[in-house]
Amino acid sequence: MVTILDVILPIFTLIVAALITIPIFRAIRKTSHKTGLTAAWFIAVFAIASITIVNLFLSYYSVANPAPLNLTLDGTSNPAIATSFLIDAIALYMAIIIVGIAAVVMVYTVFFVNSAERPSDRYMAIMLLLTGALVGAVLSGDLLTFFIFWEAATAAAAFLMLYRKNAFSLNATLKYLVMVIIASAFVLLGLSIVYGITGSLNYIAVREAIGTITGADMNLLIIAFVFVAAGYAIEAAIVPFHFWLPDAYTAAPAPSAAFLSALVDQGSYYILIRILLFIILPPSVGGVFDWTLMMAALAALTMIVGNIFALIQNNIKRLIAYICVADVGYNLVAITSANELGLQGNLYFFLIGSLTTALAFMAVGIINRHGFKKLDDFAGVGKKMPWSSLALVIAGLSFAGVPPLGGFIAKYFVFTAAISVDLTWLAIIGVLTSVLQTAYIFRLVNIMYGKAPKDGVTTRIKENKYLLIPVFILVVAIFIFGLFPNLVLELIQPMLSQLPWTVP
Amino acid sequence: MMLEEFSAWFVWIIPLIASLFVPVIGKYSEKARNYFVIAIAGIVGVLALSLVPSVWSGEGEAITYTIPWISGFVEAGVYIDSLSVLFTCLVAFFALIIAVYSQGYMKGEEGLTRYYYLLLLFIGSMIGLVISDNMLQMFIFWEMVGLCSYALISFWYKKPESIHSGVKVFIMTRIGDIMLLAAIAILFYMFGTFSFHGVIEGLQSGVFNTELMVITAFLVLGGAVAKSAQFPLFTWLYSAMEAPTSVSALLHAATMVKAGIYLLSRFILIFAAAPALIVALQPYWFPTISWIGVITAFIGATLGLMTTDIKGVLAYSTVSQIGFMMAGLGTAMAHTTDVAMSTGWFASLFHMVSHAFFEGLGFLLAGGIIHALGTRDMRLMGGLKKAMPLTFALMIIMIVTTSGLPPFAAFFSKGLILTSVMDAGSLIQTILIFAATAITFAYCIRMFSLVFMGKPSEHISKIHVHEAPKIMLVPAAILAALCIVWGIAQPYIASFMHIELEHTLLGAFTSAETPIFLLLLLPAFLLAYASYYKNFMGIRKIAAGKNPLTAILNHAYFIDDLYYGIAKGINGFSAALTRFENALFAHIPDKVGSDISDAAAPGHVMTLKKGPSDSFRNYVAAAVLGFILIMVLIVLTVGFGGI
Repeated sequence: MVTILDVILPIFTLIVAALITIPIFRAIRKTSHKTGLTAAWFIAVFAIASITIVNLFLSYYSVANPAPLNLTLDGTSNPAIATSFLIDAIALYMAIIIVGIAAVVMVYTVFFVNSAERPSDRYMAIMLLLTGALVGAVLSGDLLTFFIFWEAATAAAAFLMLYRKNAFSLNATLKYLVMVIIASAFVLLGLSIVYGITGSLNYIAVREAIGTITGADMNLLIIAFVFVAAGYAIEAAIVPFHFWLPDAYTAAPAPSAAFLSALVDQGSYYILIRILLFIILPPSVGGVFDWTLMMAALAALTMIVGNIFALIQNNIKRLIAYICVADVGYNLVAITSANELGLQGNLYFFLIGSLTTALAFMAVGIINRHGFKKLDDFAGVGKKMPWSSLALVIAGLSFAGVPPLGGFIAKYFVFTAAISVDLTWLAIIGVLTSVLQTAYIFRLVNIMYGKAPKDGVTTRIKENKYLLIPVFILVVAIFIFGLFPNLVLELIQPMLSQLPWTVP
Repeated sequence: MMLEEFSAWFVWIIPLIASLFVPVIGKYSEKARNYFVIAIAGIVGVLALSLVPSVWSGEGEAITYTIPWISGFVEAGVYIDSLSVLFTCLVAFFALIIAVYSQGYMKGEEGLTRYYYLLLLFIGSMIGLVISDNMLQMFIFWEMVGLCSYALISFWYKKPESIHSGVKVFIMTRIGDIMLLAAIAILFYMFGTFSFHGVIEGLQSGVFNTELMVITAFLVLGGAVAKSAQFPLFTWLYSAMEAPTSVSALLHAATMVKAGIYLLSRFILIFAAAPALIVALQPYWFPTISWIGVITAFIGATLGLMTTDIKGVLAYSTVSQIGFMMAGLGTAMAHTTDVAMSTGWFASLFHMVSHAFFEGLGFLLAGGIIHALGTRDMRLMGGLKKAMPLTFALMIIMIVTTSGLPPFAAFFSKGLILTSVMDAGSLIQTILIFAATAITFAYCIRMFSLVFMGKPSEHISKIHVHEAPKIMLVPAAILAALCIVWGIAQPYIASFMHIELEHTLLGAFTSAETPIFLLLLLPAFLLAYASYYKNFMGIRKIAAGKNPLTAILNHAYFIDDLYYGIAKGINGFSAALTRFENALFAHIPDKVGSDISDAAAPGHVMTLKKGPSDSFRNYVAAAVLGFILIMVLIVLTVGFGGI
């Protein structure tokens, strides 16, 4: 049986760990084994966090066919108005992904950041805080709790971007912050209308209240949800709200970019799923209004714009940032499908997308350290830095959907879901843009392996093996999940019986 | 489709659509474009005239035709009654006159395609404004005529003062637009409809909030005051004289400035559907209108005495004459709740048409003079009697009509207004309005003598002055003829308007006002005669000297200075805010820098302040566009009824 304590424990662990990281670092800095002790501290933190999540997972699945569980912070009172958490298969799945990938990126960060640099303790503390806030966000059971955790996460994300402290990153962070503030304003406006009409912000309570609303209130409610959706669309970087993303990811250092693209981005489409599929319901099962055209148009736009812009980029990080934008588009295709198959594809895409973008940014981070930033600089890098290059190529192939990598299965699920609901045109756009993706990935491969270096030097550069360890953990994960998708689908399966439209 | 239904729709749709073709035709042939505009104006005139018989033969009931506009929510419609047909015919007639006149006056100017495009757009919008059955539709046209006015005032956009005037006019009239919009919103809130007949039915049912209706009436009045250049928002009309004179004649004398008069007469008709409402409006609303009217009539007339700009005199004359009409409307319902029994309401509209004739004539003649001399300053004119004999003769008709001398048009129309004011207004109102008529005579004589009498100025002797071309004189002559005969048409117009007039034509000569009026003209004439013919120095010294009276008149009662002061204050406040923000922001990067970075380079300050602004605006713009896209997609799927 899950208690409220089980839910709060992982969030609490991560946030408290974030707070005591700075004093711990003071102590560590005085010793002679700085890096090792730092890594040990984070492994310990994530071990505890993982245990708490696993505890939550096991106690949730201790009963057969568990139903979604709405827990309030004050125990007994009405979930409609109390701060509440919603535990179901999707929330747990997201929490596991977040903690797992955050752990891998954290290990990378420890070795990436020069521990002699003074602000590195704060940087890592903020990463922990961000992880905690994201876990809280995915576990939360009402729109306001989600909003609060989400604001904490975006504030933390801004600090991660600011790490470089140069004019470029200040500029990008400012853009991000202003866009996020606009997004928050949209969301808050929408939420206040939703609360005014339905009298609650709890996912389930709002869903139930919507069924009884008619007439002018319903029109207002549609507008309110459009505001909320537009707000989270800015944060999820759906075209045309995506402009902040390439700037921000390019300005952020590699660990930040990996963290943001793998976790923060997925978190913002997670809320879109919650709103569209769980609160206002898909139109095919009696949803409030038909949002299929809206999401389909945005999905098509995002896939096309993301991939075309990726095609013309010269800076590798910016290129990957645009692939992230395109990935949002593929996720949107799955949301648009709005059935079990689509949701399954979506959740699978979350995992693979997170792994792949994190892997790409981490591999690029290693290569960038040696001064190779532009596409032209990458000539011959395949011979100079074989391991990181291999990791980058695997990430790229997974993006493009080459079997047997995870990306193939993910895209397969998404497109079959689209076809199953007669959105074949969307699937066709998706496949065509995937071809485009293959084109620029192979151009990258060609430059890295086929061309001679600009300076003519082909000697091998020594790659940091501590950095390669987390990178290859992700590579292995992509292979495993590509070859054995059932490992993940097992986790997703319970959700199929928990969908609001399957519950009697 | 019946004839009048066909005419009522196409009389405004044709010019609006035709305006789009002007640039296309203008690309191939300028001549074809000019004839096209005249032909369209002619068609509009025929369509407008075809509306007259059914209204005349009817019994004063309005005919409405509607089509769905926004399904299930708003219906577009036309509203045909004597008021809207009177305005439609006036606009259509003037459109034709000006289309012909422009051939001469605007010959050889640059940007004529734009000019004719705006002219047709204006004609369509103005007719659309007066014939709409729907307040929303009316408001759209109301804004469109404002836009045309702005664009035509700034027609010579290379002159800075043209642009300045255009913007000033646009901003000042917007004050009224907002009030009108608020009034429309309140009416929609109360009756759930935008259509006139819907509101009339609502009022007839007697279920309405009287206090709120009085507020609405005041908001409508605000809209009319700004659009018709009444006190205290009259100063824009003088600035509007930067427009080409043909435009001034059409927009700022004959039609557009009358939109306020139309609005008030229309709403008086609507309010009259509920006699209880008229009773509620009698203590405050109607007296406010008549006070605004008489004050504007007086102020406009006094300002006409001082300006040296020939178009300025006509502009202030327009302000003053519209003040007369307002006074007529304000006293319209003092003793009755039935519009058909109201002298003031009819007098105001009757004077509206006669004013269009004589003021339009004045502008056309002034246009000819400006065309010949290249200046608007009356001090550079004089002695044009010999050089421009036809203009001189026509100007005498204009002066006589404007002054209200019998038996020309304004004698009857203005006489009716004076009767109405004497009948219903207070003593001070009566005194002010009689003073205004006397001063009207004085400024007419003054303009006349400065332009045509005396010796030619140095400026004139340097250039060869020629008579205006025929194409400009013929339209003027038509207007002059109408000035002469319009007054005699009074009984016919009354029967057309379905008004039971108790004053006959002959009665106008024998009523008590006429001798008072004529006696008052004598001192005015003597004053002008003494100062301009006998060079009675004392008077000119007062006018030229530094005393409070001249200061007030030269500054147009300091009303513009007040507005500029307000604008300056707001600018100053925003400048102070900017300085405050700059001061605040300039420090933040230092703090952020020292906090988050070990070595914050001074360059950060620059990039933080400058950097985001360039690309960032585009990001936000893209996000806004995206939001609009989402809304459009939602509306496409859910439908209009859903949102």
